[in-house]
Amino acid sequence: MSRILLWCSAGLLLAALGVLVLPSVVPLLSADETKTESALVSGKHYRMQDHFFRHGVEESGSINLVSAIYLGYRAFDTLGETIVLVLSVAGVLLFTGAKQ
Amino acid sequence: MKESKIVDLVSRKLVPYILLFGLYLISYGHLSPGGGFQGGTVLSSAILLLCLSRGVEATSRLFTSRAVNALEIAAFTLFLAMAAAGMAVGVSFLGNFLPLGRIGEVPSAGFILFLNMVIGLEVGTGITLICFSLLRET
Amino acid sequence: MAGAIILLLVLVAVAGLILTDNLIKKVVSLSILNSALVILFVWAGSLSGSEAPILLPGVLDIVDPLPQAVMLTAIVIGICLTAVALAIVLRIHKCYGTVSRRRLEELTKNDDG
Repeated sequence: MSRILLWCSAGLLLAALGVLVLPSVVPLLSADETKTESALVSGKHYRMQDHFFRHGVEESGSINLVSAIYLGYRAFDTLGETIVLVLSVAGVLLFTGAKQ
Repeated sequence: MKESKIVDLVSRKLVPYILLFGLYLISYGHLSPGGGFQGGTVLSSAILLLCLSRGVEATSRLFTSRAVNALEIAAFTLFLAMAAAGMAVGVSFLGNFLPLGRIGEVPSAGFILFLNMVIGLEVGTGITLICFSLLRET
Repeated sequence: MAGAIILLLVLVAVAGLILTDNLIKKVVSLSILNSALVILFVWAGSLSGSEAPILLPGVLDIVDPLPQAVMLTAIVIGICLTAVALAIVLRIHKCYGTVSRRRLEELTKNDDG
């Protein structure tokens, strides 16, 4: 009886993953590694990628654009992530019996 | 855990270079691939190498749990202080208020270098503490 | 090609999560699932360019840097999740003496709740 429950929960998990992931993956699978418009020639839409390419260096000062994003434009997410790290260290110390 | 002299000797000779490489990754985080998180994990992997070759007891006599814990809390508080200082000076919370130097040198990019150092210390000491607690044998 | 690898990793991780009996292997499967989703997002962002997003002089056609910055956070949170899960498994082993799921089911059948 519990094996049936196990397989039902497995199917539910896969279905949930599929509903979340498939609508963004299926167009990519049909794209098949051909490039979409690059940052230079796209004139129709001003995407965020174009904004980072043109103004990223002068607004945050670092030529590594990934560092400019997660420490300059979106530093709040980095703050939340350091909070998660400190909490997880506290959780591990709790579960393995810290003396202090 | 049985001790092996070759592993012990090689890991003791390698640890300063791994620490140096971690510091290089952290401080050149705004000029080349790298940054706070990547360099912090490399720093903690150096201490983990010592743990695996000599045992947790000997390594935590060198890097005491109390000192590593204090360093992590200090780094986190420094991050919050830097964020609040942005609000105090007048730009915004977590706004970039230090001067941008010449683009392409190490001491440029406002407070991104400082934040990288703080995050690297915090991630390194955090993962070291996790590994100390999980590898203890009592 | 990369999509096939990602699909394979997801299936391996979900199959390992369900079909294995050891608790530590289940935690490792969760970590593999995390890595597979990170690769998915970074690959999806890499289709619109050809070079790394570091603006050295002469770089013209860069990859989208936003998914890479977001996935850095995701990787660290995955590490924290794996660490807490392993601490819980260690505690279970200290309390019950086993990490097998079937044996734990027998041992906890008579607990209250």
